[in-house]
Amino acid sequence: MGSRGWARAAAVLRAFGRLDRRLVYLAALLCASAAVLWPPPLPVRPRPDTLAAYRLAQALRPGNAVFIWIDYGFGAQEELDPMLRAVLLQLMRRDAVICIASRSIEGGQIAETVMRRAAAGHPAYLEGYGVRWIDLGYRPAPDVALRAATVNLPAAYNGVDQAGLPLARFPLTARLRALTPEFFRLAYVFDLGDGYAAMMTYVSQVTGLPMIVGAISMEAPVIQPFVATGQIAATIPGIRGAAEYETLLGAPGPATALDRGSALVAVFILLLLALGNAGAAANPERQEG
Amino acid sequence: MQKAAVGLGTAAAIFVLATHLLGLGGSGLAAQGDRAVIATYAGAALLGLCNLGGIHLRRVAQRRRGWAYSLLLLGGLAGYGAVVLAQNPQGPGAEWVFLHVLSPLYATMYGLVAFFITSAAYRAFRARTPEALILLLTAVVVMVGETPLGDQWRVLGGFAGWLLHIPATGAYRAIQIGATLGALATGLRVVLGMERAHLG
Repeated sequence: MGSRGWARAAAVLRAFGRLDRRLVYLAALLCASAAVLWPPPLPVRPRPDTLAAYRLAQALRPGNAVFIWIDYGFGAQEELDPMLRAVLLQLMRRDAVICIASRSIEGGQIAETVMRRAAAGHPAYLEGYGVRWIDLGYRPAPDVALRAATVNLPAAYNGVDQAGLPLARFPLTARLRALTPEFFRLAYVFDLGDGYAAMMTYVSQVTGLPMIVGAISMEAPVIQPFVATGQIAATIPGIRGAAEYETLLGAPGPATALDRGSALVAVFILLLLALGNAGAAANPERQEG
Repeated sequence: MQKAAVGLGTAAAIFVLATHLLGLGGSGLAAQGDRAVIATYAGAALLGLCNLGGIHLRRVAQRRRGWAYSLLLLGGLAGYGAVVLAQNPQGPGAEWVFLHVLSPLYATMYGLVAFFITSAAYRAFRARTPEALILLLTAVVVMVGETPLGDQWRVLGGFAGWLLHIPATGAYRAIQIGATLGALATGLRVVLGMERAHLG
């Protein structure tokens, strides 16, 4: 290539380094849409973290009780709802008794919605509210409620469920008197990365009941030290963990689609990084992008 | 007044510590303490509501910049309050607001973040120094390795996993230990009345 060719190539690279941000937004929109509509058919292979969480739940026997504490709001729904759905599917297949409570004010509503969707193919759960599952909802000072639940679960939630119905009328709450290994076999905490507060509260308040943490991808490294110490039995890391869970269940769903789509988005961001850096390299005196 | 607040805080802290250390978690005394905490939460929420309402009422009354947004906030507060009082916090009205107003608003806000991150990655993530190059390469490896592409290219996926499980976890552990020690020291200072900045 002659000097004119190099100059032209450098000019093109410089142009790539100065793309209008509206163009970048448009390209991101197209890429995200394509990722959602046509996710690449990549295989999802379960990793050890997710496998450990799956095996713990597989060891449940019919009628074993599981406590689920939800600490995420509408902002993390896209990542954590599919995970919650996958976990609920497995618990329903194991015929477990499910008790849900919430640490976030929106959690009760989210749990109810996800549970009803997940229970679509499980009439025993769809029609078994108060027998197979219950939603205790949110209570002000939720950390205090959790501590109180280790002594007296119904009293900790003022004796009412998410909808304000008295717990005394449900056969399930007569069985589950306290959040202890005597009444429960397993617990889940679905935690949004706000300083992993829910997980920390659980670790410090509840003893002897193994906990699995479902967290957004960003939070996964934060949780890892607690897995190493044994305070957390296993983790389900982010949307990828949820996709792996769906693969283990043999029921690919929203998490698998989102995870596959994320590969497309990663390639797109990689392309943008390459363009931006190539543009900067072709224009070394330019300090700001 | 400040001395009374410090004294009350110290007494509450000693009470909570004592119930934990003496194993009185299941006692009636601890239950009373729990009720006091819940009442404090409720009181703080009410105080916050009054403060927020007062600030925005003044802004509307004085027609300060952005007063229309304040009006919107006050309308939202009054409207949602009316819905909850007319039914209850779990009623169909409140549920409708949660599912059809709050949920899409949150989704929109978080959805927008993806665009800003993408644009920022393009404009600002430049390998100008060797350190920036290492950061960039690490970000690329973790980003790609944490997608199903990491399963296709095992070395990349394995390296991303190693980065997350070993160096990142080690760094987080150090941060956690440091932050916890800091929180412990601050807590002790508050309990002993040496730290009074929070009292104004």
